[in-house]
Amino acid sequence: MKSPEAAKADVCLLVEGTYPFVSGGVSSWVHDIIGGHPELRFAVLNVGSHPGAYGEPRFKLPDNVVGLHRVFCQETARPPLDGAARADLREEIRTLRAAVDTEARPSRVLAGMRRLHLEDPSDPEPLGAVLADLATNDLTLEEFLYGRASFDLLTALADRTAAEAPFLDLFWHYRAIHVPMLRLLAAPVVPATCYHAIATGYAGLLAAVWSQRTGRPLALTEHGIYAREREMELARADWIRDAAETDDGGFGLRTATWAPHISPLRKIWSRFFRALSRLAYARAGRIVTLSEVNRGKQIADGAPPAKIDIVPNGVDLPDDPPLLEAVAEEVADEKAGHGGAGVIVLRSPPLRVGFVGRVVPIKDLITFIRACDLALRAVELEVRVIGPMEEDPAYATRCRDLVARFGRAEQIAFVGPMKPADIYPSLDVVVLTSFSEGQPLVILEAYARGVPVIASDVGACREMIEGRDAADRVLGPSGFVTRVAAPKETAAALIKLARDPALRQRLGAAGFRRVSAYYQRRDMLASYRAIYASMGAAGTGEKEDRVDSVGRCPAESVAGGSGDPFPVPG
Amino acid sequence: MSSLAIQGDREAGAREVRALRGRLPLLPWISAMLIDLTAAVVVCRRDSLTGALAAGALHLASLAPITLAALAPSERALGSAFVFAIPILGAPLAALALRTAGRSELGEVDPEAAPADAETPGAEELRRLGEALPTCEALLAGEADERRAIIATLTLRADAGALALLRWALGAANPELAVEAALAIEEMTASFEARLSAHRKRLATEPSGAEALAAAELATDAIEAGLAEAALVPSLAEAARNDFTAALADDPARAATVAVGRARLELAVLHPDAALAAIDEVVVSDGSGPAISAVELHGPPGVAAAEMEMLLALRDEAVLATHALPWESASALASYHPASPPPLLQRRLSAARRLSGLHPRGATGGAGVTVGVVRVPAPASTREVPVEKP
Repeated sequence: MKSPEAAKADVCLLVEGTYPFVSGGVSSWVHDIIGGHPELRFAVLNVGSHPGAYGEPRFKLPDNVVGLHRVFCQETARPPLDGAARADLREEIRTLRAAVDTEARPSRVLAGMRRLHLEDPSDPEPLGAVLADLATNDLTLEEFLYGRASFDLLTALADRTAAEAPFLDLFWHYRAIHVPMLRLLAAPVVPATCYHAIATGYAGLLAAVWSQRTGRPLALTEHGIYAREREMELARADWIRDAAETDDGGFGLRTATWAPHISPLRKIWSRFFRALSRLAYARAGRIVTLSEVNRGKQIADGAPPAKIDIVPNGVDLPDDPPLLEAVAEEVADEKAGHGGAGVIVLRSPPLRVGFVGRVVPIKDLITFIRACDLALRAVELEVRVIGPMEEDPAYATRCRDLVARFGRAEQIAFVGPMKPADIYPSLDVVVLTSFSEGQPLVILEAYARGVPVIASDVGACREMIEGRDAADRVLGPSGFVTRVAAPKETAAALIKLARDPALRQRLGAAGFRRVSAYYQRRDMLASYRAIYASMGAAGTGEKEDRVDSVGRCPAESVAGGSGDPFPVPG
Repeated sequence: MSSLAIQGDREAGAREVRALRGRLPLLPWISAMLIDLTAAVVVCRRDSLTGALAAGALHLASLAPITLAALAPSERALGSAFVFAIPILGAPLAALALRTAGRSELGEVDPEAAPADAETPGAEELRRLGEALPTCEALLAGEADERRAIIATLTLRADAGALALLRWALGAANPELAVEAALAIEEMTASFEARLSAHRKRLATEPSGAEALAAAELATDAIEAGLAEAALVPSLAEAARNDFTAALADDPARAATVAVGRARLELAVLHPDAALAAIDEVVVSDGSGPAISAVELHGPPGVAAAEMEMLLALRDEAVLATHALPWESASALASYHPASPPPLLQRRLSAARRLSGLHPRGATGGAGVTVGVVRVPAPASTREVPVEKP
């Protein structure tokens, strides 16, 4: 962790793996929030995977960032040990274990972990107590790794939740889950007037713990729904066997029917991620989400409805807004045969199609390319893929190869990143085929330029295109919503737009009206300014709390728990 | 935020395991065995108490190389126990046990090996299956955990039936189910393309019949399962045909294997005539006239019974597909062929698929995955375990 700057922050933003080291929607949003509140001083705490996982920052930190701090969940992987070194280490562990077991004092962190895994997740009461237990940070990594009490918790987990799992696998999963948590709990508190977590998960946990320790308020903003995203990623671990061996050796019934048998390891991870979310929801005074869809998911995952506010993303409207009404009317005139002086010449084919975003698997560029190939059989298109390609070079190569194999290299170009101001004036339609989105800024930027959108039905895309409530829906659709991974539907929408310029104009006009009414940046910033003000961050700076070297605050500032909340270890 | 970073591959994992195996010193074990052999010689030559005592002393001395070797205490204890308890053979057995990485690896079925015979389902399994929901209903009605478990299982299975179910799930009203199914298909496709690309690179640098056969069978698997990009199937099939030809030219003894692969490929791309021709190049008739039924057919010497059985099943399938009505051509009738092969043949194709190893350990190759900012470990039986040093 880098040492903090001298000045205390008004707001400490806690992010997981994103700003300022990874480009993308969430990082851009964080950058925008910081830049949009020049009167406030921000500290940024980045929870990363391990040292070396990220390169140089992708964003230049604004002047009002007073500290950038990093905490890592894992250390850099060590090379495998040979026999002799392994024997030495074994001896070292034996000595350490003897010392740890001699102390034999109950750990509240361990008690919190036990509650997290073994108590009823639907009961909200213990959450405060769990958080208070975790906030004590009275369990060292060594005690967790080699102590008897920790091993007892592992065996309890094995008995009660994972009797069918191989114990050795459970052992390593137990460590993989908790070692990052303990590393975070041991991180020194970054002093701030208030904390703002930009996700639940490990960053949300750390924010909740710091808020608990310091008594400072916590706000939580979720772009995606963390626990569900992690569960989807976990689903990729197909070696966590959920059923009996699927090679049926001639007994083909197993494909036709499904006998439930879910891996206990998957359940443990899933339960843990959801518990992290519930802890952050419980501690946060304000929970902010981007859309109605996500609000529903948060409530289903245990967020108190009364705490949730919807603050959609926003963009600045251009200084030269598109003359959509005039264009739409003149298109209609032309269709009706009333062309004449002053008629704006409609763009002739090819239709200019843009994919704007990072070239990574989650954006499902493959479906976009397949859709363009299908549409190109019917209409002329000029397709541009606009966005960075270095994040996943293998995927970028795969996309380029697919374009080449389709023989569409002339029509589909990879142009790399461009400035937003240069992107949209040269596009007739923006397409987004992502597997997962929160509330994509790309759609709002396109609307601000009167460009209609074709997007897959993920995140808030449907309500951004069709309207989120009755008043919004009156504006009409501003594009097309397709199913995920449905190239035929995307192609059909492209063909329709290519053949009907008037429709294109109508949808673009609706988009512009929609972004003007509901998605302006100034409104978003005003909402957050109010949230920060309600948490005491008014940009005046405050006297620092007394925080000791492991981030512990005076006991009176801690809510919840019983007895001495922060017993000194040893 | 939702960086989906799946890392590692099966080959890297295998290299890691090999590296682990290679680190155990061999000298102590060989020394212990030689000392024991000397003891045996002493016993055989000197049939006396002195000889027996000398042999006993030598047997005890055989423990010395093990106790002095640079081994972990537990390894030393295990090795000594083996050497002491089992004269002569104890040392090699101990070395074998210690050089085996992971748990139960010796007893584990090689995922690329030919599958064992079908097991007869037990009463409990039949009861469970009888009570189970159809997979598509379970996908719609089940809870999120159950849904993901089903999708993970389908991904691992990766045959035409599994893909059909996943594609069906894409159209589900539940957007989360659709997204998860889409991600699963994408992952399988990416895995297939990466493997095919690796085969092609190896073929370009170091051409061999075995590599060509592997590439052709992989392409055939993907076309048959419906994993290959539809618009690219003709070019993929053409490349696979060339690879089958190269594999056969390299070694004529693999004619039956190539015929099986070629027939599966042609059936998958709806060219049953070509499938029939490929099989009939290998299968010969007993009679003087054209073969009229598979019963009369037999393969050339050296063709394994299982391979011959598959050839005959594929021939039946091809004959059925080419059986045109007077007003329809063979290929027109073939277009009515169901998307997936009939169940009887599907079982055999499933075996063929496993042989070619489309997804021996699923799309992630049995490696761990990164979930958010944490690493979910791979199964203990396939990896070098990390050690958290204090």
